[in-house]
Amino acid sequence: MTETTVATPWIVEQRWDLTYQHTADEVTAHFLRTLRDEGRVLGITCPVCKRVLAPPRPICDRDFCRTDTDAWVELGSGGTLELFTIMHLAIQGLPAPPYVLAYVRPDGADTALPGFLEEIDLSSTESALAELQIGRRVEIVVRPSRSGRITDLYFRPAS
Amino acid sequence: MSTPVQQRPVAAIGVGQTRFGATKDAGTYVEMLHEAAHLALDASALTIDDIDAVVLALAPEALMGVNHAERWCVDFIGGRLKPVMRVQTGGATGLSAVQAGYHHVAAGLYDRVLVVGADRVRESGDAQKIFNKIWDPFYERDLPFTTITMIAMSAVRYMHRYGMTERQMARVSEKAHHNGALNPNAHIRREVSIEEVLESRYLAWPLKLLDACPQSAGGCAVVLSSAGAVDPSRHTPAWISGIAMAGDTYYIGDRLDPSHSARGFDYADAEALAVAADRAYAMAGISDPRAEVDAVETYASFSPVEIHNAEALGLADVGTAGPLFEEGFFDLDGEIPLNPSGGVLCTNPISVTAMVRFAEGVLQIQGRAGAHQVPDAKTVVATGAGGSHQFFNVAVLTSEQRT
Repeated sequence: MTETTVATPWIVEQRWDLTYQHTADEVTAHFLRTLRDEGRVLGITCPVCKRVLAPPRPICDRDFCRTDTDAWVELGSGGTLELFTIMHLAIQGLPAPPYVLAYVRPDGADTALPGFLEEIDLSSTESALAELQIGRRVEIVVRPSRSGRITDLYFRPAS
Repeated sequence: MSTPVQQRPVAAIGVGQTRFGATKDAGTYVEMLHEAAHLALDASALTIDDIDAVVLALAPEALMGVNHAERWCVDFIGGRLKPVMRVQTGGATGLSAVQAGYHHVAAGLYDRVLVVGADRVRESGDAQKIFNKIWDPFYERDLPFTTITMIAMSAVRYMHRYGMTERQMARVSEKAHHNGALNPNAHIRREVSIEEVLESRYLAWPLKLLDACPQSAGGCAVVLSSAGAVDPSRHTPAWISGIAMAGDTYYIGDRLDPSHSARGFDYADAEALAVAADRAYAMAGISDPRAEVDAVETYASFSPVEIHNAEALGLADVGTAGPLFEEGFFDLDGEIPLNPSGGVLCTNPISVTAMVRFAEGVLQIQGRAGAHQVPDAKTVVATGAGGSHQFFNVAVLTSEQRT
């Protein structure tokens, strides 16, 4: 028998189906627990450079030191918009666009928190950009229903 | 920093690239490794028996879908009973693998090293599903961050600090596609106009579809040689006169205060690229890159990245590269051609994207770049970038031995 046609690709499907149980370090766990149970947003002070890290981490990347678990700082609800983008592309397994992702530096912190920037008019790029300027004031909002995840907080333009 | 010991000079003597294209049209992962390795060996007038050690460039294997895939790869890279290592620094992998091979030879351990890799970026349908998994599991993963949002936010910051326009970004893309159309190995080989770029749909503001790289498949390989193993009758060596790397913090939120940067850089800029470039230039004895560099192949997965990379590499003052792109300074026939191959905007097979930058630099030095050859290229810079715009490496290739 003679093959006379170009073979169509022979596809073999394989699947990775993995669930991971990530154990948080003590600092991260305290931040997420406090966020869920008390609705408060915490930073932590590096004992060497004195930067207030938000979100708090068990080490400071600048000084290569551990942070002290008694050096907690409660952050205010005000902050400054440092980075944003308006996402338009749909990606399987991720939320349906459009949405705004942002980094906001809370008052009293030296670094910025990631989160959704909500309550923006996304009907057009122009309407969204009218409310989106780096350096503008935003409010850090804690959702009424919380599960101990970073998405328990979000940002909205300060009125 | 320690005082460097005397290292042996190292040259790239041959490179191989498969035709890059869409994953569905490409060969299997391992066949592409084999093809690229053979092309590089042929270009070096060597066989696999002449190779002392092999370095495999394999970025996150979730892209190609076989875990611990160096097991599958070893026969196809000629690694049986040879020293074999695998290198992984995300998008920087291809140049990190070259750097590992460089150190093998420079240290005097081996005379000829094969560096080889491949990728099939759309094996799972969309690499961005996988890229969401590179973020911090506690603080960032629950948010839909991807490599697209990562670069979009850097571009927004750069616009804010330096006034970059979407038209300047589009000009970068027009230039890249013009060059890519001249490169027979490029994945995307068609010209696009500035207007087409500006009218293409937004992915993540301000990035549009035609500001973005494709998700490519293909393989690349490089043969590195000690000076003693270079045969002038067969080889046109491209000397690795400088090669260096710098990593940056995982946390984008920590890269927003210019007062914490010696250069006054923040997430708008590519600080670790600038640090790596300074190290590589110092090794190569380059004090004025604007005057001394003839061409650059830089890792820029979206058009605005070429703009801040040009500044981090010292080719333009900070905040001024956008207008220079508009003036044609970085065109193929401009003062310093940037990505004469079309760059990453035309071809992005992630594991080897940074190696392709290096391989294209070698071809430029050898005078073998064909229609996208930069005339009389004697000093060429190649860069890689990986992680959350986080791991950067820089190589300086020269036609003359400097080290």
